[in-house]
Amino acid sequence: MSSSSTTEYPYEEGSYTLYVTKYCPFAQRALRAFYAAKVPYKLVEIDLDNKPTWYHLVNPQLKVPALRLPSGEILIESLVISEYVADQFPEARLLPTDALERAQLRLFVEIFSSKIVPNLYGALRAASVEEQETKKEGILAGIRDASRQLENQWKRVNNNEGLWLGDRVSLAEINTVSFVNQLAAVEIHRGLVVPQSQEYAAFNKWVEAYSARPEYTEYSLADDVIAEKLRKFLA
Amino acid sequence: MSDISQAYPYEENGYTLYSCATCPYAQRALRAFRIAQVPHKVVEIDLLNKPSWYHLVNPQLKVPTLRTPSGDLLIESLVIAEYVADQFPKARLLSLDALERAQLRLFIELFSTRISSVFYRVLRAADVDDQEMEKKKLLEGVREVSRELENQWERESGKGGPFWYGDRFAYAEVATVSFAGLFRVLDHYRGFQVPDTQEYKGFNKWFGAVVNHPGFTDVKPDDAALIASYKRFLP
Repeated sequence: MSSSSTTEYPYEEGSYTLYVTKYCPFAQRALRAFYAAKVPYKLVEIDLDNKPTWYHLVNPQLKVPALRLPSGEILIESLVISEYVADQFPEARLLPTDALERAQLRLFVEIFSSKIVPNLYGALRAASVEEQETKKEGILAGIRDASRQLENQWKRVNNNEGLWLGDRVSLAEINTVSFVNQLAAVEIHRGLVVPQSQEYAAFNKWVEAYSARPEYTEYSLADDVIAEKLRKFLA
Repeated sequence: MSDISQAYPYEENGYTLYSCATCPYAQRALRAFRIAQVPHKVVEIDLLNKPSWYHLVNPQLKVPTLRTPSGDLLIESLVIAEYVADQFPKARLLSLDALERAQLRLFIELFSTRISSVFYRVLRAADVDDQEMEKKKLLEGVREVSRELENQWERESGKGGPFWYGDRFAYAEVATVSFAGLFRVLDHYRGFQVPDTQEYKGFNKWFGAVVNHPGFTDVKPDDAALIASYKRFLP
């Protein structure tokens, strides 16, 4: 590690340095991408409640994750970082090579970003029971959408092992599973229940499949830990 | 075009793009196809009077939507644009280098959050004080974009500009110029102008080249129609 001063920041010379907070679901995208691609890196943990004075030199927005490349370039934004890993290490096959398959994978990830995540935090923040119910329904609508896309996808790949690409972890899981993990907070604080019925079957099968994988378990957090971490969002 | 016995109109064995000329998101898809020189059928959707069949194409009733020759439907403007870049690599819309791709994605994200999103807030602001505040924020965003463009023009892939990839109107422009083109609307309704000073040099150099390029002008909606289409966003 290079020395730190007021104009410098810690990084690993000649290697990747990943600035993360382990419980942050956005940072977990980057962690899982590096894990899945088996790329070595130096991890620098950032305490979001007490950010180091030098961190603005890494990311002026003061968010995690951030990635310093061996060349010294810095990348931010969790989805940009995970996609960078997929592009830079194609042998890890984190993305399909076919244009249409890539697009369909991106649309699956987009369901989480646009429908599930906003409603997740919305349900926690909502003061009234009525608004909480609306947000919870928004989460479930997103999950049903994800379920349908998984069903369509499995018909296409003709593979029923439960991951998006069948038998291997890809950005479809890397970019999404941390947020499914976060749903524990909505279950515990707001009584969210994901049904076991047909409309949710593919989603539940997918969750079961990835939950057994080390790419997931290496960074997943226990339900009660999540619930405690997200308590601060409660109205 | 196929006959009325089909559920919705599309081009057999070709690409069909469901679009709206004044919609900046739809313009991304249109420009991707045009710059890549890929033949496509455009089906214009009147967003204020959607055809009864359109939900079969896109249940969210948004534009753009792409129907591929295989019958697959893709939504989300950037997913569609990236699909075109992936499917037609000879068009060189998007660099193959992982870092260059990441930097371009960050530029698009910057443009989206600091310019495109703020544009709508300027329009929607009810009182003059709020309008002035949002206009200030927008100018701040233009300055940030200016600096990023100048950073890019120092890099190998940007070599002096005026476009992101130097002398080529490509993916970065496809993803952003329709929003820069909305400044006309803001000038009309809110008296917004980008100054011709040093801090805005990068943006002005870029936009000056953009407005004269067929990549922009070929898909540019008529000014009067464009301005009229944004009236509904006013408070």
